[in-house]
Amino acid sequence: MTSALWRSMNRKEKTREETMMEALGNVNIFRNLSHKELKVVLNLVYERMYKKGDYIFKQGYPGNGMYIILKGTVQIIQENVEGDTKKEKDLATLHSGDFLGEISLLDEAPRSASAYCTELTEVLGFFRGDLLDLLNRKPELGSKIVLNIARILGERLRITNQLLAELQEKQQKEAES
Amino acid sequence: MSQTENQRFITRLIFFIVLAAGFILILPRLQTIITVIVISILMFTLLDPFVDKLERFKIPRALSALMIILVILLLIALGVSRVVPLVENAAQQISQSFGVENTLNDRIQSGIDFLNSKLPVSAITTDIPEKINELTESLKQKLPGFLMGAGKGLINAFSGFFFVLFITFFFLKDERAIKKGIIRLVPNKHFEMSLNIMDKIQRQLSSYLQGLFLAATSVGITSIIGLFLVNTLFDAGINYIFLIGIWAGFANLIPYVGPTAGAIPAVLSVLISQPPNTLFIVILVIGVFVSVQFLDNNLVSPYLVGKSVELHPLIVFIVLIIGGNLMGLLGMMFAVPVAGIIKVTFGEIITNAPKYRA
Repeated sequence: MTSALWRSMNRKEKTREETMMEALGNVNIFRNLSHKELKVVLNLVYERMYKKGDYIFKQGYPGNGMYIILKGTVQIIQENVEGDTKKEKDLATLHSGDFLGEISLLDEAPRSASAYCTELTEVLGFFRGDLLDLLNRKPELGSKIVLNIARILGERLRITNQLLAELQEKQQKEAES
Repeated sequence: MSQTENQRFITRLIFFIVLAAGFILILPRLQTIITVIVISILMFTLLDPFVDKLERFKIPRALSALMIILVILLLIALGVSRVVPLVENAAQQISQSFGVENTLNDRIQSGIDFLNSKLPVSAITTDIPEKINELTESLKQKLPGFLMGAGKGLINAFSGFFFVLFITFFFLKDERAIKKGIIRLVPNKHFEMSLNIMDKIQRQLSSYLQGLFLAATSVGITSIIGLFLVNTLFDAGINYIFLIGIWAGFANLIPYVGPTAGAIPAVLSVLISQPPNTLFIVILVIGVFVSVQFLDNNLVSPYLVGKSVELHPLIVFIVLIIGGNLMGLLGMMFAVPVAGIIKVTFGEIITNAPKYRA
């Protein structure tokens, strides 16, 4: 193991900005952006820190934008009301590098689930107002991001259609047998 | 309530009373800086879209903001160099028409004599010319002090205006950093809500203020065109049409009072130049301003300013009084935009905050 004294000399530690740039670059809606363009996006994002037990957003809140997890763990929970009882369902556990809520960049539809921090979590938030602002100020960059969101939505729609077709086929087979 | 809750309530109550008292005590001392900041915010909201447009041409934001501020300075310098001689001339002409005491006294005296000869009893006192002489004397004594005060006021206004431009430049240049700084203070619980409401307020205000500004410009331009037509077609001899147009545009920012105040200089100009068909020209000039207002109220303002920030006439009346009391004419001009800002802010909070309740 390298001693702490030599480690800092051999390998340059990542700066906070580099860490954030890397996190942004890994998000599919910012894919194919140049370093300069990523820096513009970096100026638009908000850094937030949440304690264990804090909600990043709650189910039913108006969607306002997306979050990229820099550090920590986020649990996605869906609350369903069945009769008089509320039931919580864990949908996913997200870690550093994951992102959530990107569809809210397009409309203000209520969040379909809550995001709950299970440990100290650092996130970057990118919001619809800033995307609209970007489309106005730097249309080229804004269009690239919107096109990426459209690609993701198209992909998801294709998967949903495929799943639906499979389900219909399965139901038909069951009905026949 | 338990004893500890009672104590907490009393402590909070005392804290708020002390805070409110402190605020009320400090407020008059902070009036100038608050005014400068409010005007800077208004200018920032108005100019921000222009800086955004320049950024589209890949001009850095700081340079875009600087260019916009320089354009404003240039326009003001041009305006001052054009308007000051016009005001000087107008003042001279007015003083030549009305300022000569004897002519004025003669005119008034002949009017009184005429009225007294027509009336059965001597109804009008004849000491009016003496009163005017007394008034003129007292004005002569007070004039140096008044001029000193006016000069000081002008210097204050200019330095205040440069402060406004300076602050506006930094608001334009560092808009994002300022917004981030404010949002950083908001607790996580209210973060998304605050950001959403701030965005909506900024968008609405920007279009509202731009609409107000464009509507005022349209009133100015249509007044100039109308008066120019009256001048050309009827040889009305209305002077300082450009100046009157600028005034009409500015006055239009004051609802109800503004349109009348905008027309007065034009009517005065006709009365001073006394063309052969004075009454007809005065009616035409009034007609021009009525048409300008009709166009503004029915076509321009509803399209540009929109209905979302429409204020109730009673509210407009109250804010005009408050604005006038605080800052005179300038206060009356800014009263409605500021009231619009407050309405949009509270409207957005009231509409959006409940959506974020768990």
